[in-house]
Amino acid sequence: MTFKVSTNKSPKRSTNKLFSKLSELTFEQVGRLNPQLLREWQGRLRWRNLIITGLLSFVIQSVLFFQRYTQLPVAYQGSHGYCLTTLENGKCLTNANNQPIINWPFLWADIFHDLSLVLVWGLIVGGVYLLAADLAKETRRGTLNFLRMSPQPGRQILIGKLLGVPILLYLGVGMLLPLHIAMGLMGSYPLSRLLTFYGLLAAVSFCFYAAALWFALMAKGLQGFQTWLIAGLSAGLLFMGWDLQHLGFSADWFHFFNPLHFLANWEVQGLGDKTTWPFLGQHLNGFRSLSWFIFPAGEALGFFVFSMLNALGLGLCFWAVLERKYQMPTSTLISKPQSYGITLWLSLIVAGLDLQNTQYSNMAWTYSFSMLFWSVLLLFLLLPSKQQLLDWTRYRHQQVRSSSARVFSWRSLWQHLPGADFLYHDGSPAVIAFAVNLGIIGGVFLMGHHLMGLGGDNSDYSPGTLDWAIISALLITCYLLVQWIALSNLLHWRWLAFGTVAAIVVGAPIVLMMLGINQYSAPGSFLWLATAFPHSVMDDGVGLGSLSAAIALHTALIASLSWVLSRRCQVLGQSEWKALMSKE
Amino acid sequence: MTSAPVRHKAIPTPPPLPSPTLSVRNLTKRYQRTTVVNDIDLDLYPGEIYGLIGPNGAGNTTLMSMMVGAEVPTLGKVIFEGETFRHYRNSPRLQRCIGFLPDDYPLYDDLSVCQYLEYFARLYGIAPKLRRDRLYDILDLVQLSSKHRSRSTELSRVMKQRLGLARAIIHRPSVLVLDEPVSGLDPVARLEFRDIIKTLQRDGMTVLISSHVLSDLADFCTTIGIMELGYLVESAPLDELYQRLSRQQIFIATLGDDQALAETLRKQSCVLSQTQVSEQEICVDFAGDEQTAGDLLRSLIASGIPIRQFNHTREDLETIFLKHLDHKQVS
Repeated sequence: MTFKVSTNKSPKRSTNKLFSKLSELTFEQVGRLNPQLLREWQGRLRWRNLIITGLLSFVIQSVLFFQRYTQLPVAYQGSHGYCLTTLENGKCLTNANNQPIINWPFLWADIFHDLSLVLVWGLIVGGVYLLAADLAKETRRGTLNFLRMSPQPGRQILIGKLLGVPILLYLGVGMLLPLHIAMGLMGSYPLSRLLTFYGLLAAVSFCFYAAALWFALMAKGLQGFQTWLIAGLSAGLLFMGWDLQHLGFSADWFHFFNPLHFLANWEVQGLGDKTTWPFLGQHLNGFRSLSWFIFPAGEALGFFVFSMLNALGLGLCFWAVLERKYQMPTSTLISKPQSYGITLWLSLIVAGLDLQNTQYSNMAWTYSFSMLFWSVLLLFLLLPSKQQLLDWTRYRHQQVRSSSARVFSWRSLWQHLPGADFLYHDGSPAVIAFAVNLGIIGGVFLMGHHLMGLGGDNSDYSPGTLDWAIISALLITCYLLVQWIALSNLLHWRWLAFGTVAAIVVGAPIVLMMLGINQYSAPGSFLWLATAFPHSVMDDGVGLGSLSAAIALHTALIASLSWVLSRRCQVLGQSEWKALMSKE
Repeated sequence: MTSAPVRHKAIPTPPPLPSPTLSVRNLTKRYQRTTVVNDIDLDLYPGEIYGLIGPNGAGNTTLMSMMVGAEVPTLGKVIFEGETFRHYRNSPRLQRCIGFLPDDYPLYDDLSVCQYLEYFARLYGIAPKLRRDRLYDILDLVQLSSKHRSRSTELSRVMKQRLGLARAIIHRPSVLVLDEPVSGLDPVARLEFRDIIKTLQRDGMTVLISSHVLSDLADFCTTIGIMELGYLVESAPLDELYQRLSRQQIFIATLGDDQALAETLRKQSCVLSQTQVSEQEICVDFAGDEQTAGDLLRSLIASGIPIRQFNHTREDLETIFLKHLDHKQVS
């Protein structure tokens, strides 16, 4: 396409025309690549919004800059952080004009840190809020269905949202960058480190954004409150990893969600490893010794690699479940095959970090405690709704009836294996899939134990394994109960299900503690073995009688609940099929 | 007063229909214990305007939602131009061929009319060269050309409804599904809307429309379906429906002998019964179409009966619908 610039008009007008034509061409190109992205830009890129964004960015930069600048020491002032050298009398070294000699790189580095903080918090918490609010609004308004019904793939729409909805935030942040880079370079940060920091920030933001979009789709029943909830959770997660400390177990994971820590090995010329806000403590509180399996994740490069892989891995997991939920809004929150991958990935992350524990029992305890959280969450993520379960029972009933007419094919061989739909079908009860996930967690634990053995720790692994086996049995019982509740005709069955799980997992140990039931005596240890915290009993050597009784109890509970549930599914399947087939 | 036994006139065999554009077979939707749509078979033929009527909660909206892919059916299938779809939410082919306007036609507040339509044109992958022309054609059709720069917040309800319709047809779908598009509109707006739909039909679009304004449907629909409690209890061309279900009457006033008139009428097969209203005035129950009524008038004149008044009336769609509901409720 060629431009025809009129020569008989004023140059200013011609330039305006050219500019307008260029922007039209750019928009056209963007629209061709991703119509959703263009739509988001068109809705937001207006002069008024751009001016407000520019002003806001300028004001923030000015405030941060001058707030530090006004802290510079003046003549005759005592010791000050920005003095190049402090004399014996506690005053700053002064020049010929009797003015204190300033350690400028130190000042620039502090401004750089302030700007980094705004960058990270603004981009992550602000972006999460904007994306979740936008998707919640689309859902509430009913326009999301139009997008679903258009031939555009879900991925295109979601990428458009991701890049387009926070466009003003991106522009505001972009306007911060020149000052940020300048301050970083003047504060002795190499350019490569700055660019790597931006890369890491982008990866972590992607992870948070994908999670926010998924959450907004998932929690549409919260009437817009999900926006505040997910923004609050993001801020909470950033806050949990605020202080850079080496905890030595899986809680160290939270640090990897805060890209600010990548700037922690700040070395201003001439100041060595002197640390200041926001990086507290000497030698980063031992953070450098943090490791994941044998990978030095606390080192500068290690932190970057691990954070990047962690953010991208988790971000892609969220993206996969988000795409699925977008295309199939009535499906479960994650699919069964997806759950296996995510559980394996999370187990490896947690086990790798927990292996920092030199004591085997501590490692086993922190690992099972961390994975207990994930398992309870997974229980609800995998739970099919009553309608899905009814559809599946009918489908299964129908399959049984028409099994003789089934055509054999290699492609769907494994799907036709008896019970295979329990492992992959969205609507089937997820008890087997849940058990597989618990098995994966147990398998990773055994692998972790084996690695500890290679490191010279020859502790007995049976208490830890039994510990997880009992927790797994309890969780399966919880799942069966929750599924049973989900099949009831109760209006508020979700609250009842949450309450039941909370009562079993958290309430029962609290009650035992409040009643002062001793875990070392025979009946007491049996009761503790029936909770989600059998660890203490296992550690102190449990009696064979109590252990056998606990195993028998869990087995009996699982067997009876499974039987009741399968019977109920069978009856529901038959009645659904009959109801649909009867020509009333 | 005289009356003759009711005789149904044999309905002539319709000419063979072309293959349907969109069909549904055994379409069923069940929410837990409630069957909202029950085992529905429906065919939409090219160029047809199919009016779907039924009381609130009859399942019209759910049926339409399943047909456009917004809802997944519990049972049944949708056949589009010979291709069968079960869960077709992700079928781009079908998505390109169906346009849908829900009853609340949600819009984006931050986009102008032109930007809104361009956005959907891009979503449907309309080539840039075509896009502008089509956009202005459609804006002309829905009479929004003068408002193309306005945002949706600045539009009246009628204009918003037209913008929603423009969005639904921007990709030239072969089937247009409209769920109560005229609810809350004034008579003038409804009249204009009718004209737009007729224009679309002339362009070869198949339209499925649900509405509670039955007089509108009677004006432009070619086929009517009546839904009740999730069942499609009636589905027939409008003419056939009138012939079959509408009570038709002809008021005849003569200047001559009413006995001769009554005798002549008795010989006509299209006359089901006759009632003497007053001297020289007879009202007959009639079965047939406009053509048959014309034939009847001609035969009376040919018999030498001086006709003063010949007035053919029939029950409208609303009466047929209400009668249908009464009958169903009683049964």
